[in-house]
Amino acid sequence: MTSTIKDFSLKRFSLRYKATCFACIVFLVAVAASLVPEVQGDDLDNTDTRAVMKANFLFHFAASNEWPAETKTGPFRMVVIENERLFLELIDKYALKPIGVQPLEIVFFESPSDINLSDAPHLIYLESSEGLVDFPKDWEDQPILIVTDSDTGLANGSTINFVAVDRRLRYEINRKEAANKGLLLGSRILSWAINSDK
Amino acid sequence: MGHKLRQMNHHMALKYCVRRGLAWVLFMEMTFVFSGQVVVDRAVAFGQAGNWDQALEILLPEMGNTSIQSDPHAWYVLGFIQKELYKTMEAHDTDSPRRLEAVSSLQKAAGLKPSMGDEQKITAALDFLARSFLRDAIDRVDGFTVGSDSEILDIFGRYEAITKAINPNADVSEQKADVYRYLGQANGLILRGLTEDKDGLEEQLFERSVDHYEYALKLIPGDYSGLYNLAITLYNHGVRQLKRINHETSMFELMEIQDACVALFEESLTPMESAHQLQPNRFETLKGLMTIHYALNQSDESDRYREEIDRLNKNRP
Repeated sequence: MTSTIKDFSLKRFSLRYKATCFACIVFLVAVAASLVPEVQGDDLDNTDTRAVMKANFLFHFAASNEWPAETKTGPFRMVVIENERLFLELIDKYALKPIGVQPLEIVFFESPSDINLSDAPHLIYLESSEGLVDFPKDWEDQPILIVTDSDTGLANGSTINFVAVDRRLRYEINRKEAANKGLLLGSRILSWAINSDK
Repeated sequence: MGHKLRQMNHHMALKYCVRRGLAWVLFMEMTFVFSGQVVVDRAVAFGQAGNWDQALEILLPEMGNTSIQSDPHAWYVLGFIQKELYKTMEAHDTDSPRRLEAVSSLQKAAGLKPSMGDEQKITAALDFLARSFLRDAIDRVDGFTVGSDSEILDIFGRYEAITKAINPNADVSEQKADVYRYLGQANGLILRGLTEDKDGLEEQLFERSVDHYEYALKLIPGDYSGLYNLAITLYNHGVRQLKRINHETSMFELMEIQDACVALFEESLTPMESAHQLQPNRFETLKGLMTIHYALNQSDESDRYREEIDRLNKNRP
């Protein structure tokens, strides 16, 4: 009987102790929260601003350059590698929009090695130009406009490379590479390039 | 001798009449004053019984009475009655006439050199009424509608005027900054919810939001919340322009939009950096700086803040 009473008392003490500790913690958290100034108002817009800009540039690259006649059947295929946000932006605003007489089709791949030549892409975008080494050699002469966003993009074989100039997204072109591939860069695209005289 | 007696009697009679007349005038005066005081006391009695309507009915007509017109206590009682009527009947009416009347009566009482006891009570009553205006201003922000900024600031202005009348050295900068900041948020919230830009409303809301935040920061520089919200408003407005780009946007338009966005992103950088300096370990400002630098195509700076966020995340318990 005595031990039962003792056990019961101990249990009650233990419960009371736990409840007190919990109350203290809640109080401290409330005090701490009240000391941190509230930041009310708008939330930061998480839109990928560079993806928005790039998507529009890519659409212009597709619409304002000239591909050989034999590539003008079926959909105009744009392949995006690695950058899923860019892919989603393109899908959202540009999918099925006309590129000449061809509807724009946009496809996403995780890596360059996932693409096949049989996919017949007209334009490939990849973030880093290092991935270009994964492309088969017989692609070099194919009329595929390769766009990169890398310091060594043009040097590694891309036709158009995004660059940051004065905090703005711009692009540079490799006319010779375009010519080798049988692509004709449009005057509008040439005029806005930062190195249009090259 | 008889003549002299007659003269003396006449003189005494005259004095007697003058004294009687003066006494009568004094008596009338006292009666008059006494009856004015009676009215005030009766009004107080009604008020103490909770019968404020009756109290006002008795006292208000008498306030034109010269006996109590310059009595600070009478004006205090009147002001108090009007205050109580405002509380019971017009507390939810921002334009309550009773409240304005109460302020007027109490201020009049304050200007007539009241007793020390009355002075304290007058100050307390005016302070209550001043705070009711502040509360109304903030309540109006809760139910904010486009263009109600000046109305809210007018209501706040009344709070400020009464507070400064009580104490000319009173500093209401903090409360004023709060109201301006709330107005900035209110305009920003409506801006965020706009689905289309009609009649230039988007630009109006944006400019008002920024103006309010900037004014709040002028009053209380170095306010973290104000700095952060201003930065967000500027940045988000830039993103809003960018999101309008679509397949119909020409290259020329694209470049122009980009220029406008970069200007807004650059403008948002200053308040965000200031907020960051105030609280270097706050995630929202680190994220804000990471995002703004990313939008400005400054990958190195953006990555630096990303690493800082990762480091703080790792060190979190």
